[in-house]
Amino acid sequence: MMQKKNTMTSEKIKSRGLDIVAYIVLFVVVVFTVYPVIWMLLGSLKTPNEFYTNVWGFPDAPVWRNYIEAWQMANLGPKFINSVIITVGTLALVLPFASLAAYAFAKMKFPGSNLLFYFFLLSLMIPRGVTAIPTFSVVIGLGIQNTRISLILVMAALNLGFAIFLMRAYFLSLPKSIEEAALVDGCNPITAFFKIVLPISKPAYATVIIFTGLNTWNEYFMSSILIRSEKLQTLPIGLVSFIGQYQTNYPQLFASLSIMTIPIVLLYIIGQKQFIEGLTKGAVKG
Amino acid sequence: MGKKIVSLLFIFVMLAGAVTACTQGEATEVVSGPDGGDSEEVSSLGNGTLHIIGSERTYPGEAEAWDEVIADFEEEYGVTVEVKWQGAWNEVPQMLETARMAGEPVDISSAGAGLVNTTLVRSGIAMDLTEYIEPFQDRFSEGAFLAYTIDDKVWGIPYGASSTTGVIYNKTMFDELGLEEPTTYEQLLAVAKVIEEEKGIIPMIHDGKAPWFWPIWYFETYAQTTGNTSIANIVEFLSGNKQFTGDAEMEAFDKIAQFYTDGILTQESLDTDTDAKFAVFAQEKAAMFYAGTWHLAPVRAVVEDAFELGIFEFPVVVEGSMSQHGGGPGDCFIIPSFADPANYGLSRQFFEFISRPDNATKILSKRDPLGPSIAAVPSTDTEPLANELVEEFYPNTITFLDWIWPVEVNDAFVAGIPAVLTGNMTSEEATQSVQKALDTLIEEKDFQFDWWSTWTAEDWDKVTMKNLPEIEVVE
Amino acid sequence: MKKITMAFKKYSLIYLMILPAVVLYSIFVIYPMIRGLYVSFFRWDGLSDMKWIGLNNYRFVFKDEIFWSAMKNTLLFALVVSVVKNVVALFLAILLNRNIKLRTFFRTSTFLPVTLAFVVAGMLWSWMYNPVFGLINNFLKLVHLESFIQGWLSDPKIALWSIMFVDIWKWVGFHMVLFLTGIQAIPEELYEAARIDGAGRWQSFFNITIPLVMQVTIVSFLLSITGAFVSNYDLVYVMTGGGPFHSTEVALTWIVSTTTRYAAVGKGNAMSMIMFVIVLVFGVLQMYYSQKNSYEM
Repeated sequence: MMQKKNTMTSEKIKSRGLDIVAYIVLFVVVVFTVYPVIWMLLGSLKTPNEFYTNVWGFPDAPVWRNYIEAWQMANLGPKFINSVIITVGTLALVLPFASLAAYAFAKMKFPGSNLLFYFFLLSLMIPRGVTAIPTFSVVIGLGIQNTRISLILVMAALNLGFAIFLMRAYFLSLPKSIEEAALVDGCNPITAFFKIVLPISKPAYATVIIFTGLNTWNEYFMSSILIRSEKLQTLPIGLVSFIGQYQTNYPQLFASLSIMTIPIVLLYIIGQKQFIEGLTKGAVKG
Repeated sequence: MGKKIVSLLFIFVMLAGAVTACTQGEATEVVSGPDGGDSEEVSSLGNGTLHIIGSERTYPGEAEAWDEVIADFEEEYGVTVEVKWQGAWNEVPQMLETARMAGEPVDISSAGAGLVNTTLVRSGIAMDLTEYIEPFQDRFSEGAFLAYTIDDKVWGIPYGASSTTGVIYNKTMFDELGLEEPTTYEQLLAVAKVIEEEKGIIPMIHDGKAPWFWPIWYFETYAQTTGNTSIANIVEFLSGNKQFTGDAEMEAFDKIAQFYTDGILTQESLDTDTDAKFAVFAQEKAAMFYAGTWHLAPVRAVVEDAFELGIFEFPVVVEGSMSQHGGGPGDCFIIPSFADPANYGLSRQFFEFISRPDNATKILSKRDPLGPSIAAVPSTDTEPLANELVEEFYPNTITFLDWIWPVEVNDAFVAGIPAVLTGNMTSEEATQSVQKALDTLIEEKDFQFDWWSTWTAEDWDKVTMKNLPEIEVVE
Repeated sequence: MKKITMAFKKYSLIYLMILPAVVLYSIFVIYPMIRGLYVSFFRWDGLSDMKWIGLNNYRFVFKDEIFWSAMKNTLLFALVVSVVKNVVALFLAILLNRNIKLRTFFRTSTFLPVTLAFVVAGMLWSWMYNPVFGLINNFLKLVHLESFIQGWLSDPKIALWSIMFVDIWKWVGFHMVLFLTGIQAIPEELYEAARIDGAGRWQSFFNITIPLVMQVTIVSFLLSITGAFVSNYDLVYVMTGGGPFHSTEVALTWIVSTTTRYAAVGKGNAMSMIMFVIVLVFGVLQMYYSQKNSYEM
């Protein structure tokens, strides 16, 4: 009895010790990760003079006007909406297409499954930006140039590879016991997918949503080629109006960037809480 | 079953190849509007709608000024104008190509001098404007069209401000230390020493990390080492009539390296990009920097009232030579070769309209111009150094060499100059790398400097305007 | 005949599941790639007519010293960055899996650099590295460690490492999320059972955690390696533009330069194809070895 008690206390001490190490490490991490965002926010509130002379500190008098001017000058309102439409649209295509395909690859045996899976992996190896013009000629060929739907289709297609790859990996790591239990109950694979696998795949979805959302939200190159009229432009394209050939108005640029970054951070926080943390341990049991 | 997949993929690839072959035609087809209209009277107002594309207007208020002038044009001539400002200045070739692929009508496009000279004209996408500009040619500043003249033909209409280069310095600090503007290298060295000793700061900073600004040093030193015949020499080199490995060429590299070995330029410059340069200068941790007039307005915006600015010409580094700077009107408009010929008259009228003194002033004044392309537009009155620049610097300004030589050759300078500066390369090796860049270019791209002599009648036909309608010229 | 119809019926549902993805992907990703391959056999400036030159672009690429030095840089980049990123990310994921206070805050903060636009990230670190007013050199001066001061972005020998550090900083949070996902999928009962059996912390780690995050690790690793090849353009471009003396030139920056600045679209496409093949080989090798070692519950 005495022995067990000792091991338990030393276990507790070890646990505490590791917790403290964790806090120290995380504190360093936080400084390195939060300060840059603060720097961006501070920069957006400075005058051009302050931006260059008071590089690391707080602005003397925050220039909130930068946000208003940036919003108006680059006409960010419609661009914000367009960015949202494109991102949501892309996700609406990627999530169902990718999860169905990933499930098939992970759990079912069928001819050509490996070949097709590697087929999708190819997209991870294609250099960004170089296929822009050929993609544009496809879009023209389909008669959908200068539409938001063309950008949605292209972004969805580009993100399929990663999404399928990730989800398949996730499905593969689920214990077989789940579906075996489902199949014993007489479900076919599709029902098993929807009723049982889907609900516990939230972390995978969250990750795909975050990563694909991030990619699409910040994407500039394809958008600049496929979008050809101002009312359809997305946020990244709007940023170019602050970047002149010879000078850049950094405070205003940073103001726009802050506006652009906030939704992504929120998306991450929500995704994090709802999906990743929401997974209660033990729910995996049959 | 695996075979089935393979055969499916095979069929797919074949189909893709077939479709590719079909659409390949699209890439080469020149999308043009209705027939040139030889047979009928072409109304000088074309089809009633003018399409303009260009890169984003980044000067505050410029986009609004354009809107105002365009609205006036629409009213006066009863037409519609559709203008789209999108993309960065260096994305113009892409914008043109994608517009052409999409079959979008484009009557006028903005462009830059570098792009026009090195890429756009030789690729046949710009129209010959020699006859086109005659009605309003004399409204432009003297020599404005020089930067856009190739083979005695004009290919672009300058519309912006002319630039030149010089050393911008902290005048308040100079006055404090009792320093005069240096004109020779020895004088500059003496000034630098005083600054270093008295203030303990960097004498001269340069945005050495931003690759594209090293060549302007070479423009200066090469002008001097060739006894002020730099352009002629470069043309000889590019035409294959002379190798780039001569004494003048090497000396020009060495003269730049001198700045570093003598301590006028320091190590910090190599780690500094343009924005950092402004920061260092504004924080008074450096007293001068060599730049173009395009940096004058930005640096004033950063420095504000902290101290006074001055500018002096690049010092004489070769006795007997004159200080001679690169410069010129960097922004222009071109007429794409796939523009609808029926609209030539309309676009011509548009240029006549925006070159009228009051309209030009409305737009160009937003750029705080020094040496505006339209003669009647006054140089900015907010720049105290404007008069000095116009009177002393501009007369000593010649075309930027990188508007003449191709990008690949420019990159050899971009890499070579800092290499020689820091002793990583000898000046001989640097000149050899420039020669090599040209040789590779000739081999891989069939580069010929005088491309105009290789053009066939058909090539010329594509870029020549026929039956240009007359326009109204309002004095 | 009957056999085929039967087989078709049996698998038709499954094929239907992958059909939408395949169609979308083929049209918008694969076909443009094939077209890119087609263009690589031509000399094209992107504006005028294309001119057939067969395999000559490939010959030019093989002769192009800067391309190969950029590939070397890219390989170094890929290896170093992938290993460090993943090790640090796994470590952080484990730390953040524990029940510590402010867990959400910490998790969000590690992810922040991922959300930061590369313009901000590149500029911030360029200025951090600046010799005159940058925080790094000023900090070193403060603690009397001047000897450590370097030309972080101007010394050809270290510039690439400086950029690699920024890339790691930026993406660790993302990989951490991947690992967290994987770790949280591990049922708690396994740890319980192991503890009851008397297994220590390290034993649990090696026998339970590592094998079961293997799938996620494979994903994470493959992503970081391919990412170092195909998506580090923005960061390098903003911080150094490939300089000094092309010492930080990576495959992507050189391809983009060749295609847009030099208007040699055909040659640029040839480079992309060559790089694609190289990345493919890496990817295939990695998948092959990882399939051999993967665990299945």
